[in-house]
Amino acid sequence: MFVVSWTPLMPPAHALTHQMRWDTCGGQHRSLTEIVLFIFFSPLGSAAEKTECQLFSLQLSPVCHLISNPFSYHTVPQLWVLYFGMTRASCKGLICCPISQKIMPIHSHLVVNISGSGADCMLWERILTCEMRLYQLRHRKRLSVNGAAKLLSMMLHPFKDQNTKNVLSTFGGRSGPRVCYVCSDGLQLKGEMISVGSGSPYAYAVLDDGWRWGMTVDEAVALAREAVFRATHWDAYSGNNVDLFHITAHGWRRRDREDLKEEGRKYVFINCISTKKLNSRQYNAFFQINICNHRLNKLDFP
Amino acid sequence: MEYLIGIQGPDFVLVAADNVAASSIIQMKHDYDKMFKLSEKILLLCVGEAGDTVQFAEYIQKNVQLYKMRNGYELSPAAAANFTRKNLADYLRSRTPYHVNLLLAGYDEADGPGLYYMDYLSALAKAPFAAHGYGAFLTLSILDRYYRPDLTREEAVDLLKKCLEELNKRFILNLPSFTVRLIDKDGIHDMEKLPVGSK
Repeated sequence: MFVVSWTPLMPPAHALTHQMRWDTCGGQHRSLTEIVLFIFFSPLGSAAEKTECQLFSLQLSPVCHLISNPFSYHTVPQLWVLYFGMTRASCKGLICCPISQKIMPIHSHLVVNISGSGADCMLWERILTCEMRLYQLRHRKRLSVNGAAKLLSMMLHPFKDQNTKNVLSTFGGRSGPRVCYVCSDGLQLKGEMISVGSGSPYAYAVLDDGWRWGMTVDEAVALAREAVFRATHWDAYSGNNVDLFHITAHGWRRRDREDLKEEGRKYVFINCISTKKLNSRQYNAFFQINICNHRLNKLDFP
Repeated sequence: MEYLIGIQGPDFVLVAADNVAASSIIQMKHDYDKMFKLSEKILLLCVGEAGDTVQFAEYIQKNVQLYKMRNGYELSPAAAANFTRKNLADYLRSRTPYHVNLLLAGYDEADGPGLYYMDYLSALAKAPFAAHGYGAFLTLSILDRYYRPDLTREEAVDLLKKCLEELNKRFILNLPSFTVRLIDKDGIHDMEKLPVGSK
């Protein structure tokens, strides 16, 4: 696995948030806005040049990540979960849909992130939505996320050979924010930061570096963008836009999809010490790989 | 990949399990608890295939608690072990066998401490010390060499530390921390996570 030293050199997330249009979940309190961040990654130059670098990909489908931060020191202590994933749906080497939605809100406080076989995941999302609504109608309160994870896990148990990985995240009333990972092979984990999918190792590398208890939302968003960007860079089955959901006690909010393609191309091969943008010669020296001159000239470096 | 170990003393049982929850090559969780509390003085340590462990262990756990609710008293460790083995055996030749390896540790008022080793093929053996997983290949000899039936608690913990040192030295996988619990006549006691200082 290729490891790149990096520092987050993307422009701070808050600079971009002001330009974003905020959508909020319907019918709930809306004092907090959602953050959906879409990164559109395209290969450097044309598609052919990208094959110079080694791409490591696994046989699964795209990456989804979660960050959970129950406490923030810098602002009013608030509990929130940040959900981010990307939007590429692939089918045996082809991109079926570059703008699919993988993060699905179940209800105002429960969001599901999927990875694996797309059709199976969507089916289980719908079934879970039905069951959650039935529970709410029968018992007059929402099922907790642990309960929802347990329910989904039990429902998936007879179908162990399916390739479905779901990640649930919610904000419960008394229990606070929760992130649960449910896999069709039965693994069920509760954690603070979970990433699933083919690009998840690359994302874990970035997230583990920057994640800490007590991040602000802006820091988390910046980290999220960096993580997804790196993952979409290295993983063939990850790419296109990035969704970002922010779940708090008031429900979920999502942000408009955003194209970070230009930023990505400028910052992807940045030297960890230098903060300058590299020209093509520095890029070549940094990577110490032999790129044919004629190919290098075609690469569009600023 | 996963590792369980149990050491029985004259009046206690010391058990430890690693804390890694893995999914293919990724450690998804570093503080995953593989021990299931069946009753006040019985612990079930369960490793194996991903979903089967939790499903089977919780099934046994709820059934043991149901027995207590119905009958007013708890199952003894020997009875719980045999019940678990019977369930494993019944499912073994069904369409959905459970692929789990278990250690059941408990303290009985009448019989004293007991450590039961159970296999995914529903073998059951009461043993003075036992281990599951690839790490068992490395540590069973150490247990053989240094185990005595009259170990004190401190000596048992030292023996456990020796085993974990050997794992750190020779086992190819990284198992950074272990949950350690001790069962005696006063119930289940959580001990410090080993190695000391790990998160």
